[in-house]
Amino acid sequence: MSGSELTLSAEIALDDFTLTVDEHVSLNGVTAVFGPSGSGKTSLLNLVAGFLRPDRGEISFGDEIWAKTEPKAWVPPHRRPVGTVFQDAQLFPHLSVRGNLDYADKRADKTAPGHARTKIIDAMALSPLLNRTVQTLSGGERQRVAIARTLLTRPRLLLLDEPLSALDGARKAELLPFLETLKTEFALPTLYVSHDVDEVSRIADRVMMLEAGRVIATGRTDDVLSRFGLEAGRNPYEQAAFLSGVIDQEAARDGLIAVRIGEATIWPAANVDLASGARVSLKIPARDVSIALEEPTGISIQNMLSASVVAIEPTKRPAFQTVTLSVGDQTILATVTRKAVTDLALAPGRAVFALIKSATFHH
Amino acid sequence: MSLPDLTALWLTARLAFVTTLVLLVFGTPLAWWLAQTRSRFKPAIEAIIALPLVLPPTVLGFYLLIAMSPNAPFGEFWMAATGDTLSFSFTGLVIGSVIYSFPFMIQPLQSAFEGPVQQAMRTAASLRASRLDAFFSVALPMSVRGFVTATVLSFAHTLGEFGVVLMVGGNIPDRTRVASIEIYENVETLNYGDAHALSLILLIISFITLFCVFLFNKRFPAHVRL
Amino acid sequence: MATNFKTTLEKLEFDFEARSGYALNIVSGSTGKLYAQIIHGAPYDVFLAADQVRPERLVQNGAADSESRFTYAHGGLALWGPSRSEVTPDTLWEIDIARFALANPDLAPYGAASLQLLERYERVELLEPKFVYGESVGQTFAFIRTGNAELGFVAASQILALPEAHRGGYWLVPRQLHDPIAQDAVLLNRGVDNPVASAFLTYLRSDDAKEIIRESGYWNAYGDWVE
Repeated sequence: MSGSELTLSAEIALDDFTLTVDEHVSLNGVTAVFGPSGSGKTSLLNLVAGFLRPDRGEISFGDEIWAKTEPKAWVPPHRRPVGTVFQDAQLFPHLSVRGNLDYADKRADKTAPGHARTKIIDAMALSPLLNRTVQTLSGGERQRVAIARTLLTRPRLLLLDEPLSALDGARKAELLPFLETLKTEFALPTLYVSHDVDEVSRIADRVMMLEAGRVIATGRTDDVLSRFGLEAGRNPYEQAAFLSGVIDQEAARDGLIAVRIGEATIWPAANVDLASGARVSLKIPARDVSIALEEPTGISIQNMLSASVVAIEPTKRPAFQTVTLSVGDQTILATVTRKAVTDLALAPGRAVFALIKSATFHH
Repeated sequence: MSLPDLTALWLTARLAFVTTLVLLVFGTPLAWWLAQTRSRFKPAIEAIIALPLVLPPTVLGFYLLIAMSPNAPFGEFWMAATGDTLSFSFTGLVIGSVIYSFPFMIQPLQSAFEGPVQQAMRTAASLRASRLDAFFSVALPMSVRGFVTATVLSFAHTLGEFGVVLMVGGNIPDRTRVASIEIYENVETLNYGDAHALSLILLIISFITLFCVFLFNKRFPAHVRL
Repeated sequence: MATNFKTTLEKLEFDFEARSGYALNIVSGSTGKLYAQIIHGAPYDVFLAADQVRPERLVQNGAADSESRFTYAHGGLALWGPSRSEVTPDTLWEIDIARFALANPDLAPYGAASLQLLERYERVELLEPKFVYGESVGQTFAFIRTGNAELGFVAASQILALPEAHRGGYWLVPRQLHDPIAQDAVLLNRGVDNPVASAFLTYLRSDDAKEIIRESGYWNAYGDWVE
């Protein structure tokens, strides 16, 4: 498909804002869809995969129209030659590694150009894992199985939705070479969703930068990143704070370990083998902290701390501000939009609830 | 133990079996729809389905008695179509039991179909599986636990049904005189020997059924989301 | 007090309270359940049963005063078809009856009497496939009233308690065609020293009370049907 284009000219209303794009993405190499959490990256991917329908506009792949509102056209997700690798791998739990690969193999369009099964399995180094159940795999291994499974469907376009974000530092380093192999050996046009400058600068040829549902920049990776003062190793979205707490094995539940922070308890997604009473340090990325004025109910976020606003400071990115919150005698940071600061009337001294989407153990 | 007791027990088993089968056929698509819909009618429909959990069975039985009467449109239609009243018939009992046990089928299935299964349906679509294909190759195997729970609860709940049957059954041997009614009658007529025997059998069957579910759930833990 | 006697007792209560100045406290339920409650110490003074068995048993168990037991009413049986203009014994020979309701003969004296009457007319074999049994004569009444059964045996008192326009066709079964549905009253141990209890039982034997009972659809020792 080289030389051809992916046309993204669509509008869709999301919970917080309207995602509006009007881009022609070259189907050559890797294009990073880059931006902070909640900027609409995953929704954009869902439009391409067919999991979301645009309210208005058109999604086309070369001269194939996948979705269009005037006149109406629609290709359902399973008919699009798109391979999606999800953030958390999404392996089928009732099938073994081999079963997961067979699932894709059986349904692949064998008339489409593709690569041999053995080549794919070798490239992702899966031979020793084939008979394992997916529950026994590490995070990195799961992503390798997910990538291989997607390649077996013989996609003409690859969508990678933050494939590294569920992994810790060491696992990330392990998987990165496989992503580079994917790029060099299989050479598929790819949309790569990420909020990590390191990843993007290593893998992407081009960057499409998203903020609050709008594309604010596109171009060659180096150009875009340097234009915004973004360099590898200095990630504006990776601002983080550290909370220290005490392991409480009694409050552990559903396989999650519990950490007591003063009166409150949070359940980090990662797991460590420590006894009750052990002191630990948790890394809380600022982009994963949201702020609510009242204690929310009916929400999937489990980790809530009552906090009070200490300071509000600008970031490098005009639309965002960093809010410093005190939690007991400790502090955490939250990256929120300038609009949210105004709408919630946040000011120093204000009592709020900090909703923490992720916390990892800091060693 | 006398013979009529076994007749009632056999009838009860048949009623529970047919009811569960009907519930599986109608409940599965409805539970599926509920698990993925964003319709604004969803809370209302969920509330209606849950009603039998809180209403006394006599309320349901009373309304059914009125609806099944040949004086009412539905009962009249049935009478014209089959030449028999719907009340006091096995079919009438099945209808009553299906309504009465509805939440016991729908709720476990709905929660089995929600969340991870819906995400897995997307994953399957990204692997070229049509919705029907994905339902059978992914959603069903991932929901086995929910199906076992729903089926067994519906079956066991129908075994123990009393109020609705009392209202619309008419106590006809081999047709609507189920075990719970027979036990009630034995107690009322001070026939404690037969009441004991039948109660004990029902208790043992119910225990074994539920025991099997808990054993199954222990051996096949719910698939964790990966 | 048994449920089928409820509306009649309300009339009696009104009359008794007006005459004596005493106030009654009425608890109604099925005879079997009330019996079980009395055995387990329920605080009742007088028991008006729908049969003779339960009061007799209470006397045997020493829970009631044997001297006080008497039959306060004989239940009147009626063949009822509310959708018909007229019901006679001949109605039992109609062949297109879909459902025939009667009280469970094992549980209710009215049911036993109904079966007895059908046996006398040799209609049991032909009607039996159409039988539906109510747990009590009250439920049997509901089956017919809601139209689920078009014909059946109920208590005469139930029909007479309806407004005339809703009664439809009914046949009051002559008392000599079945064993009496004798309903006994008994003074319970707790009521022995209660003057209201004794006064009420005395009133229940009076001609005024008998008249009210008879008008409500029960037989008594003296009278015939009054309509």
